[in-house]
Amino acid sequence: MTHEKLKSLLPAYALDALEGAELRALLAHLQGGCASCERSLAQYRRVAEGLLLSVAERSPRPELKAALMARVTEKAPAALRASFWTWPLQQWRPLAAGFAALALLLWMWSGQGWMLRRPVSAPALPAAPSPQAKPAVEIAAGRPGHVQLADLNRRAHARRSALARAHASLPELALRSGSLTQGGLAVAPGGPLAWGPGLFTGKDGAEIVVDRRAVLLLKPYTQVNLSLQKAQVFADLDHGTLFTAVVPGTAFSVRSAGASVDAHGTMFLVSRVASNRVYVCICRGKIDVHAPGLDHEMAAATDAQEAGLTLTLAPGGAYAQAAQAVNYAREEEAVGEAMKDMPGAEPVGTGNN
Amino acid sequence: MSNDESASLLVAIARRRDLPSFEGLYDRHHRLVYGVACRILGDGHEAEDILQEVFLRVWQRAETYDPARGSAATWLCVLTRSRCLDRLRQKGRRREQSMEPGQLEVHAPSGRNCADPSRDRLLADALNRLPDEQRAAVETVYFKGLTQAETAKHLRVPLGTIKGRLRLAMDKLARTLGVGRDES
Repeated sequence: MTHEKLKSLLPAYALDALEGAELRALLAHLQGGCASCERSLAQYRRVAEGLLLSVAERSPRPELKAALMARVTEKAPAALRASFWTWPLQQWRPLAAGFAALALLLWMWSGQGWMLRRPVSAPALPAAPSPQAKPAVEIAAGRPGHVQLADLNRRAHARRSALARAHASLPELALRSGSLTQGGLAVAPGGPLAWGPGLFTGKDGAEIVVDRRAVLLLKPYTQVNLSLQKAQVFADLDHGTLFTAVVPGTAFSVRSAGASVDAHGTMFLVSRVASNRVYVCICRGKIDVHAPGLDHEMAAATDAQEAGLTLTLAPGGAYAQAAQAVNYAREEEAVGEAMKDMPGAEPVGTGNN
Repeated sequence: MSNDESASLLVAIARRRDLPSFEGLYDRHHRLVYGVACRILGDGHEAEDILQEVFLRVWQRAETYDPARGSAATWLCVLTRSRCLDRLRQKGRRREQSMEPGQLEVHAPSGRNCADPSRDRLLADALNRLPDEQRAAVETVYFKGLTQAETAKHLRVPLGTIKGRLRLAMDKLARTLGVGRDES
């Protein structure tokens, strides 16, 4: 397909209306790094976004706002507790002063009561807190004139310890090459990456290595979030193209737009090319694609049996078919280099499988 | 700047789950989000569901907003469109909208939601000036989530004709944005 022909596909691509062979050809062209087409595509995308911004505003029922705020505040306590523990020191000071004043009042009040009631020889015992009047944060009375925020400190320490233990057991996550941002902040090449919330945005072919078990190659402007659930790594692809290679035996899934790709020791590409389409291509091994209720552009699907909501793509012939449509040899070579020292990784040759 | 303010609100939501910021963002953008949802779904009740879904998503995942990729209003609109199209597909329908093709409802943006009001006003004017058949092609593709082939079938015209109309329309609109950029 000529460059002019490919360029003529850009308007439809920006509107998410391209499909089939045209879509695959254009994707391959864009992934080849055509700067002219990238510029044009950016402009067409702004047009498409402008279409949405140009829609007439309408007012919903006013009571919806109250309902929404109620739903949000239902979820708020956990979030607020989390932020409470992570307040900076200067924000603790007024709170601590308030607790101190409250505790002083309690101590003065209860102390006077003890003095009136107890025998002089009896040991001083702290007053048992009334269940009805139990404060949100327990305040333990210590020596007169001292206030111990014992429970508060203990819980904060326990939480920090739990976090430290959790981080110590997390798999290592590192940026091998290229550049990216995490949560909008640039990450130094070669540096460690943090687990947790924060979208990774690839800039120029960033390669993320997960615990010497998997390599993720992010095409420019690809956004992905990584998480761990029951020892399985999940890569949630928000937008763009992700080329993944995993060591056999590694539990790894790529999820995007309701689709899920489970790996079983493979190399594969997942691309969210439009809001409603996920493109999957096997390069090596076997993958399971679960795609309920969505349209999918499947490369190399000639021997795949679409059974219900699950597509299982087999190796071998599938890759041969894929190679005719799009050649990912360059990506295979790049991740193969990254994986060559990984224990259990299969060597990457120049041929298929 | 309006967009900067919205981006700041999103940052506050992402970092602190700040309720006042969330409320401010809702007050600023909910009419646009609801308008987009109504435009795609053609049903006010479903659009209200989407409105809530979108803002709940904002509350839970505000950190996924990337200012480098566009304004907060654009992000909300794209999110809304995606949710609406998912909703349409889940129901297995390509609903006929109450509005006929060629009647793309556009307005001159107020500026409250726009990163660049003058540019979006240019785009709105350009949309209004498009020939009906080109507007219908763009609208069917983008607001109903149909492919070119599906659009050709829907509008009962040859596939090649739809491709040509989309190209012509998008080129005109892109040129409009290009003029806007040069003038700014």
